[in-house]
Amino acid sequence: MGGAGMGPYVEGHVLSWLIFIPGGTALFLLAVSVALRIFFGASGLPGVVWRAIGLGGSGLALLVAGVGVLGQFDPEGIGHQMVERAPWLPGYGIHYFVGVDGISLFLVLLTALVVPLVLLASWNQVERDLASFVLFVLLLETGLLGALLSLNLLQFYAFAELSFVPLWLIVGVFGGAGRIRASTRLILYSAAGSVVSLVALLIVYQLGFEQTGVWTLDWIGQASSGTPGLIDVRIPIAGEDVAVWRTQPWLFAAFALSFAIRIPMLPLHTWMPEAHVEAPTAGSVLLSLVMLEVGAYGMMRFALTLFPNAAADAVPLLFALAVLGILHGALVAMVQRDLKRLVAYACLAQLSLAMLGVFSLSLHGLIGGVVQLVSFGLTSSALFLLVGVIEERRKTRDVSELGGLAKPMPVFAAILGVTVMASAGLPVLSGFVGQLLILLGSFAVDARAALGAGVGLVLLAAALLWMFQRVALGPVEKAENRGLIDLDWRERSIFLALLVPILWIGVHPNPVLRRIEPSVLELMKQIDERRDLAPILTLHDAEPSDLASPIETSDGDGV
Amino acid sequence: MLSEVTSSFLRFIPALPLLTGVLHLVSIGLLRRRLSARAVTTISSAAHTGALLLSILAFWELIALDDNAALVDRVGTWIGVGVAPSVFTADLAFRFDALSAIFCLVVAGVGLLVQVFAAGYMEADQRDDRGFQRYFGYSDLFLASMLIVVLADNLVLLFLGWVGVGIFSYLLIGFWYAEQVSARAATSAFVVGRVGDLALVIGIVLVFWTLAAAGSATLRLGEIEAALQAFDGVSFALPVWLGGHPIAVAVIAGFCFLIAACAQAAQLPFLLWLPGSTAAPSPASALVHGACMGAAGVYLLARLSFLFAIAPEAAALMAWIGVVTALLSAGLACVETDIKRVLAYSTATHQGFMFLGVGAGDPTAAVHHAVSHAFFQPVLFMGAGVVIASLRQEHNLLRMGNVGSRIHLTRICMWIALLSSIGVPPFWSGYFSREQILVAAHDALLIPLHAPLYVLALVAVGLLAFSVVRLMYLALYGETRFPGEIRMRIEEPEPIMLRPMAILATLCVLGCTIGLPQAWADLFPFSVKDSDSIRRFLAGVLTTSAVEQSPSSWSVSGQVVGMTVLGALPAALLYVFRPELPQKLETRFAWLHGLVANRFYLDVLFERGIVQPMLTLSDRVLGRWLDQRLIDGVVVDGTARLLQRLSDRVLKHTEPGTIQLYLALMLVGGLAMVIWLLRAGGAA
Repeated sequence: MGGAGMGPYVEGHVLSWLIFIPGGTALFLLAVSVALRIFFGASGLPGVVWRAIGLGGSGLALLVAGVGVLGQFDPEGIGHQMVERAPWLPGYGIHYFVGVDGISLFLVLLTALVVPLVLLASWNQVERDLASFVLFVLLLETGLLGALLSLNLLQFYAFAELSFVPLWLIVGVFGGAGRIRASTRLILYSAAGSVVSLVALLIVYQLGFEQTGVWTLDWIGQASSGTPGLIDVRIPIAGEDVAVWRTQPWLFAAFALSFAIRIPMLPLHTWMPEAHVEAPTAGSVLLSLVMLEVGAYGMMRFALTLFPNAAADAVPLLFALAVLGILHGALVAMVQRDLKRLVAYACLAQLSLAMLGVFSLSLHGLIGGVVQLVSFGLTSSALFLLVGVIEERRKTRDVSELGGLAKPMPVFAAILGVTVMASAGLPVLSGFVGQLLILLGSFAVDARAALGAGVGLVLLAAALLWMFQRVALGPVEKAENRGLIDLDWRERSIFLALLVPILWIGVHPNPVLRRIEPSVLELMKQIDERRDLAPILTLHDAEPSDLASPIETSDGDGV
Repeated sequence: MLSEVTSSFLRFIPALPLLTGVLHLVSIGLLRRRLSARAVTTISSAAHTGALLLSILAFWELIALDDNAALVDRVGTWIGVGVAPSVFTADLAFRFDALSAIFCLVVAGVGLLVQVFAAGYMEADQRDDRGFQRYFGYSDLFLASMLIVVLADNLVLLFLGWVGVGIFSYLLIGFWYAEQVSARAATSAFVVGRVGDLALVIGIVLVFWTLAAAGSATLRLGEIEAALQAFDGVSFALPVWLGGHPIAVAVIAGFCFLIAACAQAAQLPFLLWLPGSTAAPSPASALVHGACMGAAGVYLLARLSFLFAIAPEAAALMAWIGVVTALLSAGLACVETDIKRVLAYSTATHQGFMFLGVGAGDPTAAVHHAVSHAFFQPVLFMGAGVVIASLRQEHNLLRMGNVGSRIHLTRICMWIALLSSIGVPPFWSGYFSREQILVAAHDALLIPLHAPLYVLALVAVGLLAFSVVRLMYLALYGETRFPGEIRMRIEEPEPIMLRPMAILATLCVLGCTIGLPQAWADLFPFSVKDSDSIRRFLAGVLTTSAVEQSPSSWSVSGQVVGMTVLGALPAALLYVFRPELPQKLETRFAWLHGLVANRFYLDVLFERGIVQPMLTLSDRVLGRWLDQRLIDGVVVDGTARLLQRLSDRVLKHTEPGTIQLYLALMLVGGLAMVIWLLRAGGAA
């Protein structure tokens, strides 16, 4: 837990190891390669070495995550565990501050699992510029893990950007024909989000100083300063009663906007299908990880907890957007001919569903949201990799070019079927628990929303099942499909690695739920505490120390 | 409150077929060598025998207990989240009470027989080299799901089994996946199933929150009934545009469970997708549509009969859906030419009767009819399968005829099942169960709006008799309407197929002993006390709101038998003595025939009226116009152009590329940050 002091605070280094192993591997490879080039005139390291060491690095991270983090994680523990805190820019109150709780734990495991699989899956796909590919993927993993484990806002921001740049490069360099346009669009959207959130971050920084008297951005874990959270400030701009700016709605809007772009939520989603279509298979998988870990996780962890009152006010709008997102994603997925675009729209629906649970701000909904995020990470990775399998063999993703693949590729068809059913939320597979809890949580808030989401889920199941039918079932009509080769052992083991957790979460979800629940309760407690903070009037020339402790001002009407 | 006795072997009843099913599928996926057909059938039938024996054992234990007792086997927590008072717990726990006992015995017993039949049938009909073991993988898992439904201790576990039933029926319908028809039918069956699943989930959620608000959040079946008063006076207001009236939560939950049951039992409006489901292999049809899927729907309704007792609107709707479905599907069956579709429609008709029974307040009669139906309908499906297989996959009744003379024993079994199905008194099990449903419907005559129920049900009885007898004569009697060389190869099926049919046919006859109305029993020269044993057995678990069996039952009997004869005789006369007449009638009333034969164009209407517009909306409006034109084209690209123009002006010397723009923005942000930090550092 965040200690009271501002000095170093360490409960172990396992998280740092986890974060920096992939990035460190990447830098090591780069250094060796450059050294070879400079001192021996060799043309860098051979591709197979890059691949093997890259895989080894991310595999080691998986080992650390599985044994170190999951093994040490105390299911009963409250708050963040394995916290590590070290001064970074001490004069500015900025610390290297990491910790893991039940919410981030499974997302960390997901990342650590998927990245090595991505490297393994693109074993034969990427030939050109292999070195930079491995480099980007590993840096991206470090960025994602760092963002997930950050307990400091600025650090989260930095790691999130670190994960974004390699992603953009992967799409832009290794993508398809329209990759430039797609990566441009990706940049435009993300830049908008980044700038807005950076400005908001700075305001939070300033407000925090004004309110606590110390420069701090450690708002994520337990309160490290006098006040449990950031206090809403009312700034009179034209006489106290005529027009009053409140900081919280604006800051919430800024944070929510930047996260909503990354998730993406309707109507900010149009970059996403485009980017998926142009990205290489690995890029699509990683993109969906970034979406859920920087976008959805960030929304839950920062936007909702820092500005709970504004968030509560915005819930009707966010609910509506989430439900519309599910419906929109499912409906548009139904009519796509490009498999990747279809899966991308299904992603929109799935993530919107998770957000519906999160925005319900109820225990069931939030737990369901987290489980749904993990399940989404697993199933969407599997779906994109399956599309990649087809693309690699058939050089097309057009549904009408396929059909009857169950005949030549029975194992592929079986895996596709199970994955589709997991995405559709059938019991005994990972999607079910999340869906059920989300419907339960959102129903209590707004029955119409739950009903709309339910209809959307039926449509999503229809879209995916119809896709499965057109890809795998029916007669083999195209001659090119007749001789397709089924999955080899490398591919089978990749999908097995994804299907095992998919089944595990579905069959025996309770160990997962038991670890998530205390952290969600903690999150809700934090939200409740911060919701009770009365807004204060600000006078910008006041001395910061005057405002160092929360001041109950006369009007608490904003609460 | 029911008393509960812990019993630790219930879990093995669904676990045995579950294990063998998983074993089959895993061995197909992972092992290079396939198991031999003999090994596959031995494993599967051992598992089903085990499940049946355990069910009998549990039944034995149960009847030794008090009247209202239940055996409960709690394995562990499956899902458990939340804090009081809204703790959401779903245990992996099984419950064996009177209602579960009946369904469990029937499912395990009939399941075993159908699987044995399938061993013979699928051996002979292997179009796909891995088909045999795959079939047993799917159908074992189907049966396991079905057993989970009837044994589940809470609604969430029931839901798991429910969806499992849906998935494996999807896989069985699409069993011959390389055929376009199967693939399409399977997908639509799946989607329809999902609609029912959604309704069930919403129902579960409603029950959960209603009980949580009363401080006793639970989803255990026994506890819901005990906490039923939580529903008193709780209501939802309709939206203003629907009038704003409050509707009791019990009624809404009742509607939800009703929709779910309709989807599972192919009642209206889900009847439309039933014909497609006959693409499954015949043993699968016998299993899925004959014995199980509709039974799952009826089980759910009977299980929740206490809820419907306080939700009269939902019960009334159920009765009406049942009767209209029965009428409609019996009518459709009269002109259908695909042998399995006729049987599928007759299944829907019987399930309509069962819905009528629960809706009219006599769930016991519905359960009884479900049991009878599980005896006779599989025999008809198996017989149809034998005919189809011997005619080289010919489904069309008009290209059959006179097959019966070569398969006497099959024909006898089918006749016994048929007499049960159309309800010929006295000693065929289907008769008494259906008569009691009609008695309940007859009692509902007193309620003003429900008066037509009984009359319509009587018409359905007649139409059903007509359609099934017509099937019998078209398929097994009359002229030979298929190539002669096939005829010589038609043979009585192997004993492995014949014996299950014979056993089930025997059960059709013996079945009447489980629920003989006292009025009939009194006709015997020797005295039989408490002859309606199924009613006595179920009295503790089902909530019967119908009037006591009224003295009018003899007149009801007369009317039912009269309608049966009125339906069956013309069919026999038409198709035996004047086989040319149906053709003439068809041409004479071509419009009517066309209307019915095309299912009143309801599926065309659905396709053109709902599916196509929805796809068009998705494609044109949502996908192209909203996403690509408006958001992408106008908003995003517009902003990009605007920014580019701005950056042109600001950063005159750089190339106005977007990457530079991004970097510039990052730079500006970074600079702002540094300035801020410096300021902040100074202040600190």
